[in-house]
Amino acid sequence: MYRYDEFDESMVRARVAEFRGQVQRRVDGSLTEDEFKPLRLMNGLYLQLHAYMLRVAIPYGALSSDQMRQLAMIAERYDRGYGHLTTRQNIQYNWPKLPEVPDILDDLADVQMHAIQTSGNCIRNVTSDPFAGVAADELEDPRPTAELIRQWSTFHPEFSFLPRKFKIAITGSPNDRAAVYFHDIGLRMVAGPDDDAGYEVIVGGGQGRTPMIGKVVRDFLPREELLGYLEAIMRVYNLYGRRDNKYKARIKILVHELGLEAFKDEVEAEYSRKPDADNALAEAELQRIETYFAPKDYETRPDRSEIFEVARHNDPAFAAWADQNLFSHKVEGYAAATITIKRVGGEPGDVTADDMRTLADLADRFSFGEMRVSHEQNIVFSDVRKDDLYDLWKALAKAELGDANKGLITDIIACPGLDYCALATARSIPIAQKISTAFADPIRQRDIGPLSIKISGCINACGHHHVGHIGILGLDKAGEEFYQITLGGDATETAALGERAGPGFSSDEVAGAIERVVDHYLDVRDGEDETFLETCRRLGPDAFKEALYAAH
Amino acid sequence: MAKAFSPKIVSANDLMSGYTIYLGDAGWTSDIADAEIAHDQATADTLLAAAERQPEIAVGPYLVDVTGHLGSDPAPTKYREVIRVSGPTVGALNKLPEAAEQRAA
Amino acid sequence: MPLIRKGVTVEDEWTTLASDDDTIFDEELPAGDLIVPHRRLASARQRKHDGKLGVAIDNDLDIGALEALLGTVDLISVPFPAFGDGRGFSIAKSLRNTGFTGVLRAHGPLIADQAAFAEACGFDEIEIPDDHAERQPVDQYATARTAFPARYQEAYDAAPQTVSILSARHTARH
Repeated sequence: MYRYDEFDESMVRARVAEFRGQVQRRVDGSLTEDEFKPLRLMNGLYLQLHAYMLRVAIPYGALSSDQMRQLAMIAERYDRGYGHLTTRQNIQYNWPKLPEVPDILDDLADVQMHAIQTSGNCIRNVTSDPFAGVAADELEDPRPTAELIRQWSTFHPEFSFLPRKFKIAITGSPNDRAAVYFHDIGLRMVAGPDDDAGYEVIVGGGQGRTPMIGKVVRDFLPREELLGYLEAIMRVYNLYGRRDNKYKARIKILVHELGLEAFKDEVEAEYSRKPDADNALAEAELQRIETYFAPKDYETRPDRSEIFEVARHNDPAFAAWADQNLFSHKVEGYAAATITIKRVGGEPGDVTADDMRTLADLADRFSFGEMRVSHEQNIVFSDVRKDDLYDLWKALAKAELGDANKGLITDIIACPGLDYCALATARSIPIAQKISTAFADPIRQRDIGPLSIKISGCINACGHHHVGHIGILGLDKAGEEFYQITLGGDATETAALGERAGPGFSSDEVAGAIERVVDHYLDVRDGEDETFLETCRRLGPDAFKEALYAAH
Repeated sequence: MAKAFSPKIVSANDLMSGYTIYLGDAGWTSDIADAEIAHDQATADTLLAAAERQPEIAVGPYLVDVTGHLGSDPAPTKYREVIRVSGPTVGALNKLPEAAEQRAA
Repeated sequence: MPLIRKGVTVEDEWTTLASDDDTIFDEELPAGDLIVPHRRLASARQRKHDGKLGVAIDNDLDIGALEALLGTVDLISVPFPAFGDGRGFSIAKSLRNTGFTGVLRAHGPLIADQAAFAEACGFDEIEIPDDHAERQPVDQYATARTAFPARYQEAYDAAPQTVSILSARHTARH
C-alpha cells in the first residue's frame, strides 16, 4: 500500500487547517453558504435530508487494518456507530456535525486518510479493480497509476472548478472490473506496439440522466505521457464544457455534442501545444510509487491446499462460500476473498463499528493487514493463503459476515436513496431488503447463479442501475414511490446499458416482479451454466416482458 | 378556477448539526408541531424571507406543503418531507435526531 | 474595485474603458494605461495612444482567439462570472503556455481560497467587486495563498508554493 511521505502528510494537514478556517468563516459570515458549499463539498461534506454526510476517500479502494480501526472509532465518536461503503470505493458517514468535521479530518489524517475532493466539481476518487495487483488475469497492476493520478489531481490549481464532477477509473486487466467505459476518463492498461507499457484512453462514459458508453480517444498512450495527456483532456473540458445547464455539463455531453473526431482533434491539438511535458519526472514518480506495491512476502505454497480441500469436502456451508466468494490469485497457494456486506434484510454496504474492527482483526490475521472496498459495496481480502481460508470463513460466519452470495441475487447494490439523500425520488434500501428477503434461500440463490441487481433512488443513478443485469430505478408517480425495471445492463468490457422493461411497479410489487423475471429466466435458460445476462443477451429483454407483465 | 392554496411551513437544515428544523413563531424548532403554518402565499413568502435572513442558523430554507389547519399538527404532503420528520425508515442504529435548541427568530 | 496582488491591495495603474464608452473611436485615446473591451481592441490599436494597452475578454474565447491576442496587448483581463466558473484558470494557463508575458488579471468574485490557484495558473492580480471585498478582507487572500506548503503539479511554477513535490522527491533521490 502507498504510504505518505512528509510531503503528503503536510498537504493533508494543511488541508485540515484550511477547512477549519473555512468553517469559521462560514460561521462568522465572511463566507456565504453559496461560497462555503463548494468548499465543503471539496472536503466531502454534503448536506442531506436529515444531516450532513461526510464521504471519506479510500483511494482505489485500498484500506489498511489500522485505517479501518480508525474508521470504526470515528463512527462511534462522531456518528451513529456505522459507515456506508459506496459504489466508488469510498465510505460515508451519515450524521457528522459541522463543527466536528475538522476534528474528524484530523483523526483521518492520523492514519493517512482524508476526505479531499470526494465531492465538488473537481477530479474525484480514482477507482480501480478490487483485485488489483493480485488478479491472475491482470496484465499490470493499476494501483501505482491510480496513486499517481490521485496526487496529480489533488488541489489542482487549474481543474478545481470544473463544469461538473470528474471521475476516473483504471483497469489493469482485460476483464474490466472497474467499469472504465462508464467513467469520464477510463484507462485500460495495455501493451504498446513495442511491448512498452501504456494505456488505452476512453473518454465520455457515464450514467446519470444521460447514460453513455465511453469512446476510445487514444488506442495507446505511452505510460510516461499520461499526466501530460490527462492535462490536455482536462483543459479542453474546462474550456469548452457546458456551464449553462447542470445536467449537460459532464464531459460525455461535450464529446457527444462536438462529435468524437472533433473532440479527439481538440485534445490532440492541446496536447501538442503544450510546452515539453515533464514526462521524465512523471515516470520517475511512478517508479517511486511502484516500490510501495512490490509483491508481498508470499510463502511458497503448492497451489492445491489439502486443508482447504478437506474443509470443502466436509463442510457444505464453507464449500458454498468457497465456490462463490473466491477469486483466482496470481500467486500459487493464495486466493482473494470477497466478504459481502449484504446481510439478508440489512442495509447494503453498511458496516457497523464492530464489523469494521472484526474485519481489521481478520485482515491482520489473514491478509497482510490490508483489504479493499469494491464498487459492489463489499470488502475484499486480497491475499489469503488457501490453507487459511477455512479459519477465515469460520471467523466471518461467527460475525455474520460469511454469506456465500458474491455476485448472486442478494449481492445487491443500492444507493442510500430517499431514506438519506436530498436528491432522491424514492427509497432504495427497503427494496433491496424486500428482494434479498424473498431470495434468501442460499440453494435457490446458487441455482439462479450470477445476477447483479442495482438499485438507484433517482435518475442520478448513484446505484449504477443502468449497468445492473437487473436495474431498478426509483421514481415518484403522483406522490407514490414507483420503480422502473431495466434488463441486460453490463458494466464490464462488454459494456451495455439496461433496457427499460415497461411500466413501473409500486414498492409492494417490485419483489414479485423480480421473482417473475427470475422464474422466467430459469424456465428459458440454456442449461444451468447460462447466466441471466447471457440469457438476456441471447433472447433480448423483450423475452422477459411477457412474464413480467402477464399476471400483473 | 384557481388551484387552492396548500398551507405551507418553512423547513431548513440546522447549520451546525445538519438536522431538520422548522420555523415556528418562537424561532427554529426540530418539532414540526411547533412550525408556523402559512395559509396564504404572502404569509408564506414573508416566512421564507425571514428564514433566508438567518444563514447563521438555517441552511437552504424552503417551503413545505402541509395538510392541517389552525389547531392541528402540520403533516407534510410529500413523502420526502414525512421522512424528514421521522428519520430514515431503515437502519437500526438510526434514532430520531435529538431536539435542536430553540432559537430566537 | 480592490486589486490584489500576492495577497496585498495595490493601486490600479490601469483605467478600464466601459464597453459602451465611445471615446474609443476618438483619434487619440486617453493617456495612460488602458483596458479596452475585446470587441473594441482592433479600433484601439489603430489610435494614437500614450500608454500601455490591455484588453478585457469574455471567458468563452477559444484557444485560437486567445492566441491571436499575443503581441497585441500588455494586459489581459479575464472575467470570472462566478467563482465556481473555473474556465478562467485554463484561459490563463493557455495564455502562458502560448507565451504571453504581460499582465494577467482575474476579474470577478474569486474567493480567497482561489488566490493560490489563480497565481499558479499565471494570474498576476485579482480584481474583486466591492461588496465581495467587504465580506472577504484582503488579509484572507494573503492567508489563503500560503495555506499549502507545496504543490503536486509540475509546470505551475507561478504558484506561491515554491516546492513542487515531484521535483523535490526526485532531487532527494539523486
